[in-house]
Amino acid sequence: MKEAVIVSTARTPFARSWKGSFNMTHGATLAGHAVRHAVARAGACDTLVEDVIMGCAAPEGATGGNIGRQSAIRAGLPVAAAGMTVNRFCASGLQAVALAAQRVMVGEAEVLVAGGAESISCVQNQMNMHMARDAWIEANKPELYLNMIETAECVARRYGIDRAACDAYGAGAQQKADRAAREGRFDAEIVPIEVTTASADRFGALSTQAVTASADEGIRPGTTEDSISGLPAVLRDGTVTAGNASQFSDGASACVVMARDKAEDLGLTPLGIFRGFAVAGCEPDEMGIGPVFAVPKLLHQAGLSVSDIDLWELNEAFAVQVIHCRDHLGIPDECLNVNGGAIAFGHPYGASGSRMIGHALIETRRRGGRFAVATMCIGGGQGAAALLETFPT
Amino acid sequence: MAFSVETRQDIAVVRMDDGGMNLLSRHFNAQLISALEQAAQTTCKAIVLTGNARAFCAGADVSVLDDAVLNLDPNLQYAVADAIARLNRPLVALIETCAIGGGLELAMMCHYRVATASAKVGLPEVTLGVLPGAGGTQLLPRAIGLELALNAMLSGRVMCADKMPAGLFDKLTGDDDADNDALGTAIAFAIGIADRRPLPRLQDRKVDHPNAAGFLEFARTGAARDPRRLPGLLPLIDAVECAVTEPYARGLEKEMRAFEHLRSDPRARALRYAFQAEGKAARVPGLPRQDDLPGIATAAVIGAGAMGTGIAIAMVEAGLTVKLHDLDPAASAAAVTRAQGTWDIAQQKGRLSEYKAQDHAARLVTADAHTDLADCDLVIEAVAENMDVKRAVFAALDAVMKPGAILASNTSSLDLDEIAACTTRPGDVIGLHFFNPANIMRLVEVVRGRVTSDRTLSAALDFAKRLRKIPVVSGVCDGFIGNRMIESYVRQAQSLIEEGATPASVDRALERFGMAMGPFRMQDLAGNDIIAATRDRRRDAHPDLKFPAIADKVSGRGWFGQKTGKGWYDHVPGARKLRENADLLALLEAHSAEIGRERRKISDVEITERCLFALVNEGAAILAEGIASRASDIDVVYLNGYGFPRHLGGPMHFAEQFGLSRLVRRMAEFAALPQADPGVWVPHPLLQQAADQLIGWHDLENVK
Repeated sequence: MKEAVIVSTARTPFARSWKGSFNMTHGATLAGHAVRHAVARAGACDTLVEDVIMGCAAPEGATGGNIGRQSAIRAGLPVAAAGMTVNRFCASGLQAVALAAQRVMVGEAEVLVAGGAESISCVQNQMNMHMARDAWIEANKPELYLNMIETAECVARRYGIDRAACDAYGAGAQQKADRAAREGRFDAEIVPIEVTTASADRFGALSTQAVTASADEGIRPGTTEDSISGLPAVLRDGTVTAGNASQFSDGASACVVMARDKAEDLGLTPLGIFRGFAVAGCEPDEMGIGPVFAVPKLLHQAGLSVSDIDLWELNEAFAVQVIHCRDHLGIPDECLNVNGGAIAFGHPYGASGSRMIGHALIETRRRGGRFAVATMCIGGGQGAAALLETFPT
Repeated sequence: MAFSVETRQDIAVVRMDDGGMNLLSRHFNAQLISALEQAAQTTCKAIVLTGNARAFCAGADVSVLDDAVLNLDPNLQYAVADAIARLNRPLVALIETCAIGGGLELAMMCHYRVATASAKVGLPEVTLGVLPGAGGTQLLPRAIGLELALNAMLSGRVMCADKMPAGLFDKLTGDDDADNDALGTAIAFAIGIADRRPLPRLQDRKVDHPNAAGFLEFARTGAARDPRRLPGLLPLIDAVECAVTEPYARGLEKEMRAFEHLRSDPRARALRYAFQAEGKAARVPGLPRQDDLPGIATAAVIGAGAMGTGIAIAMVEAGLTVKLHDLDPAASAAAVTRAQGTWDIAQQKGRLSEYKAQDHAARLVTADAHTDLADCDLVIEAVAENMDVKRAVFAALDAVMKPGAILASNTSSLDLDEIAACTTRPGDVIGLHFFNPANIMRLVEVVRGRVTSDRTLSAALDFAKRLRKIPVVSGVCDGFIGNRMIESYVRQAQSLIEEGATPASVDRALERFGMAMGPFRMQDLAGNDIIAATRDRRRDAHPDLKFPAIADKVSGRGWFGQKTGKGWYDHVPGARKLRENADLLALLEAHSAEIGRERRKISDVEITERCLFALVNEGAAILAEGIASRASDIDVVYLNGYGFPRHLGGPMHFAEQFGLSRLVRRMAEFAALPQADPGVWVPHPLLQQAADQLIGWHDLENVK
């Protein structure tokens, strides 16, 4: 089998939904930006790209109409580059990169772009809800349709994780992200983008302005456990608050995936090798613990153990599920989400997986490590996990 | 009082005049069409359409919207539009005074628009629960662009013509010119464009926007959270979207359908009711017209506290010269500094010109002694709420004020007749109860004493209107309309927390209902020490009144509210959100046990209904006693002074919509609750009568 390498990564900053910079930016504009710059960083290989695979959790409206193909065209790739969209909810971006790598590994393709995009601002309030639920499932497995906050509260109750622990984690996530941003640790991923943004002044007058978005908008410097402890719980007597859950945000990320020999032919130094991927299902009402099932499967396939992994990116959908997964899997705190996560940057669902892969490789290399795992929980009750290895230098 | 056509220099001038504000109706439209046809029969090269001295056209008569079938034949957007199309020559709208709602839509149907810079223009339809219904949503975006047009219509603001974005008016005439002749300017303009073809029509323009769908979706997100809860906001955005995506005719149809749907929405009905209630509040039944009212040019305020200062600011801003007196000269000086600060901020924010700021400052002066106020036309007392202090002030004023001066008290609850009796001229004494902050809040309760003269009352009403306030006349009773009713509401709120609710749960329920501020937040803002003093006074006067004991425990602990950092809530300086007072929650548990109440979970519905029905029952008493002359006056007080949600029309309108007979039966349910104070839930005979006879407040007013 061939080896699939990730040669480059690029993303937009992640903007706060509705109030943030991308509140009227089409998904293809966001995704096209990420794809174009990922391709440019891979040595302008645009004529070689065979397929663009984009993950999206809500592939409709401003991120519909096969956003993968739209992204390829919007990125300025030749029409010969095909495009497809995949949906595995929050792990859509992770799945997209995995699919690209697998195509390479079986020898069916040499150069692909994979990533994800989400515009919660432009899609979520306009979703098509016509017959969105199946009556049989509603009667027999209604948990499948729970909203994510309810599943997080279920994890808190079932595994005895309290509000204080979540707030401590949430504040820590913000602090790590703030420090990392100030130290420029996202500079190698983020490509600033010029967009038009709508805003309202304090009298309620609406207008649009040209804005250059260059940094993640959800990071709140100065966040402490105390400053978020007074936030109201979203659900009555719950633990989930705006301070210990991922934020709604918009953004896109893309990675260029190649056959290792092709990259060598082109004289490129890859970021790392895509070593493997696993998914596993779990009870929908505790979907947040998905990594607990996906990670052991992934490590078993590779013959590795938790202690072999140098860096973990475990998507911060909710602090409560990160805490449970961390403690259950025995992940040391000091190598988990070292530069913050979705609690600080936000979670543009489809884009997050690709961001985590890109960031895990960059940060593991910076630390001189070898193996990284990117893992996510998934609505409906699933976990996904990808194993990455930095490129030997 | 009729439409006229005259020709000047080849230009026909069509003047619309219905003797009033030129309100659109079928008959108005028919006259307009005839006048245009008459002008078209002349040899004129162009036509100027203008209004009377009061208005170009102030829009549709609001009451028309209550008709079951809206018959507007001939209507503006089709029939008048046809007449304009048949002219075959340019039609120039001249707006000298105001073009509001349908009036501005009419102007936008003309080929050109000339306006004086200070003319008032706008499309305020959303504030009445509907949306512009004669092409406004389609034409304004074509005139000034999508974003600015949407803002103008979402806000519903009426503004000076020169503040309107470019594109709406072809020419603005200044009104500073000494020989200002707007008609002359319009005729000259008409001559200049008379031969230009094709005739420009806004409907032929395209709305350009790089991302209308994205912008409009942003607007929808905001509109869904708009605290005004106006039903027309989202339909307005949808209609404006048509201006971008559809031809004019299709957009017009869609706008009309939305308008037709909205006008029967209960919220729109309540908003129209509120608008009309405010309009008639200042008209007092049976008050003869006073022809030779004294002019009020100079006024005085006694007492330089927050209220006195606010009143002084309001009067200065209305153009009066104001003398401010306080026993403590330092207090007057501080008040002047505070007023100056208000104007400085307004100037910094560009809301006040430097000239006006200086003019304001020059018209607010301090006075050292009562004798300095002698020549003022009106004096408002705003000293401490204590009868002895008030009597002393009025006796002193009586001794010095010139004959015919109006002596007003800002008392919020004391017996005005007793105050008036301290003077030798009780007919000149009146209550003017302002609400804090007096320069912002628009409500003024005008308290008519037993012997207040008609002249004094008329002058006070005129004065309040000149301050751009909304005056409501109240008879004399403890607390007048507003504060008397709020007591029963607050008592219910306090009973609820003794039975198992918490201040936060009560406030949340009532704020979800739409109140600007829940009763416990309100008490903490007003000060629980002040409220305790009123309670003590009320107990002295009416020993039978039962007040929930928890209120005394809270004030007794020194939990006075915001000012002490602790009240029904904890007030952390700088914190945006209130925190629950944990000590109070513990106290509540003990207190409920002590008074033998088993705490239970109380639903939001029970919370809102109990507070509101207690309020309404007291309103019925106020109406029966003649303290308020109309139920709608009570609603005006609650909408403008107590943060009652406007889309529900006020407590009395809300009760009528809820159903008075249904409400009375709900009161019986509350009376039957195990821990109820049944006395509270005896419907006032007037309310019971309305419920029994299935009639409304208005019918009861007519019976009286």
